[in-house]
Amino acid sequence: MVNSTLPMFNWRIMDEALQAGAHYIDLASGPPYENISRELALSDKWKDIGLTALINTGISPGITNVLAKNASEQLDRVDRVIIRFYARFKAKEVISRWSPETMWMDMAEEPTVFENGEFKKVPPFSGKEIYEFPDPYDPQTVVWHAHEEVHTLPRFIGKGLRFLGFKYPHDPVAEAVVQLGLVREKPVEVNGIQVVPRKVLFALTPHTLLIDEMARKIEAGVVVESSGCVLVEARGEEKGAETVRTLYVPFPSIQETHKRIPGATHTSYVTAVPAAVFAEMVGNRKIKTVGVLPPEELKHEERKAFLTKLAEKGIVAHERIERHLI
Amino acid sequence: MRILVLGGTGAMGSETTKDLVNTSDFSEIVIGDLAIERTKEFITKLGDKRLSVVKVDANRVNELANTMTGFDVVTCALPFKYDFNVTKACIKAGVNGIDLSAEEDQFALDQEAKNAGITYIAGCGATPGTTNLMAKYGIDKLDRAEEVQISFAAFRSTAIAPGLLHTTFWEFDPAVDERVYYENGNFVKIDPFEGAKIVEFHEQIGKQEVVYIPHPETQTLPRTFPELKKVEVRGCFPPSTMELTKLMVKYNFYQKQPVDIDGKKVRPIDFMFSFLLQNPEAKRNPVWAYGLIVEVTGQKGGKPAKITLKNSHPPMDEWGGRSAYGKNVGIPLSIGAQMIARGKAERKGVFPPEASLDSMKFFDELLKRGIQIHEKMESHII
Repeated sequence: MVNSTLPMFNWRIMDEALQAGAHYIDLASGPPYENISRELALSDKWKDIGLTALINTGISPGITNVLAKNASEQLDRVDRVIIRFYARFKAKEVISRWSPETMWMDMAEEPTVFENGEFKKVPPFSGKEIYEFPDPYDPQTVVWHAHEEVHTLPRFIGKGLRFLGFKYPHDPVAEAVVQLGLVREKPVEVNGIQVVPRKVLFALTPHTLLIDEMARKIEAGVVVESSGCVLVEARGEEKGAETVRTLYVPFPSIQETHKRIPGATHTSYVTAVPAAVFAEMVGNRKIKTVGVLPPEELKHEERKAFLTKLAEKGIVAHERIERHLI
Repeated sequence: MRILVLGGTGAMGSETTKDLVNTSDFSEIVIGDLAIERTKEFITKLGDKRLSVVKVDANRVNELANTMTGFDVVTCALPFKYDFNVTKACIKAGVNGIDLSAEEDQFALDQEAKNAGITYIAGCGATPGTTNLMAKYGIDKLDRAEEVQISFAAFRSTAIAPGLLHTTFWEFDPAVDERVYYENGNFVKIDPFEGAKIVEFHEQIGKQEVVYIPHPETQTLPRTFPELKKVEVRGCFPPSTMELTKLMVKYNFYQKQPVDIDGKKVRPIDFMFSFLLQNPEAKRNPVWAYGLIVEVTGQKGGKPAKITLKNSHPPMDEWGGRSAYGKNVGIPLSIGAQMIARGKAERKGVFPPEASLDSMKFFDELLKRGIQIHEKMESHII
């Protein structure tokens, strides 16, 4: 069973899959991210029946989890893992590329970072830095952001990991929305009517386009520019030398993804294809690991086979290694 | 001499009233407002025996004119939608007037004002107001002025007061026809957030991106100085306000049709107005200040020349916190009213400040209160 609905339905759908004796795949766990511990706690139950529930299998979370694990397992000691997301999207009109509700709620959620063995909340839009992404991307300002990876990776990386966090491109408009409380639930009075702010925001945010609607927009040239990249930077020690291993996946352009699957955007393609690849691998038992698990808990060979399959579909992982020579 | 201050307890008008109390020799300073109790509290706080209150409703022109009768000057610090009514009432009552904004329909009353023998100055705050006189100063300094570029940074909270919140909404409304720049006899209509450029204001504000804003100077300066080929007004607010207005344009909060929220129809703009006025976050602002820059380009001594004028004022911690913004708006209105009362604006009719007031005398008065205008002249040597 592949669950690509909103994360709020995960719990019920997972249970249905278990009852039906089906393997399970989903694309996201939150918000709220507290769901993750609840889902992982069911692992023994799934193991007992011999079923796989592979959670968080898109681009991020998903590919990022695999990259973080791959980078970390090369290091002898892991100090710091930071995931950064690059995005540039310009269109002649507002286009929602994923659920408007998830998008706004993600923005409003207090991000979590993992530091010295503890999960800590940090203020939304904090940790501002201008990060130099690899060519051909320009430097982009990124900030701490609430995301699934921070809740699962520290459980499985080990090697003395001291810090792990997730950064997303800074959107000043979204920051204003959150700071003003437009995502809040507490109603305000408008001409005698009680109105929940977030409901107005959701009502005015265009719905996510259906694939044929998007295909028409791409062909009409409504999308002017689209590029993206996920990057995982793992710092630590390798063979006695301070080492930084950076693994990243540039997104194919929207024109290319539209050619491969008409109407697929650079965002939807890199989110849906990994889930499809994982689903196929779970279905034909190329993935044999059982229990409730995020992608980083897969065996090395399973992760390798996954990345190989992805490359065939135009989603190619790159690696950069920096280390002290002396 | 008696002065009537309409909206004299509001966010901007209160600074006008304070300045009149501190610097003017009016024998009576009467605040016209609908909120009588709030005004009485304000008067008690100021503790000046010349102050009193009268209830006025600016929606009713005849009632307004009756209240104005017998005053020497009326100053209006009400939201700009009342400017026309106030001008009409001043003409009816035969009393000189001055206000903070300037609407084109006010200038259509010019002949009526002349017939009534009154002077009415439309738009005498920071911008329009001080900027008009900065432009006039620069134009006078050059042999031939060709272009005026005005930039402002209005650093105050988003929802400082209902009137100013309405003004901010209006300034970024995509449907507004007045968002134009002037070029060679034509007014060119532009969309919100167009014409972005970076300018450097005084040190409290620093470098900011400014964009085209519909403002009266674009209309009045080419009329007062027909030699001008181009006039542009750009502005900005604190970053949080700019991002909010971008959100409102991007997500169509300006749409006329209501949205359905739990089975009830709500106009998005009405929601945003109420939401911001009830929201303490929208009343916060780290820096309260006003930045003004006027660049005039043209010819001097047969060579291309440019004169740049900038304002500066004491920082908020020395100038009453939030008042550091309001003083920049309220003080020019007080100065203008006092200049009218002293006969320093003798022409009869409805005028923008640049057609009625002397720049240097106005700047002298600003300086006495801590607002300084700086000039920089650049010209070709050969």
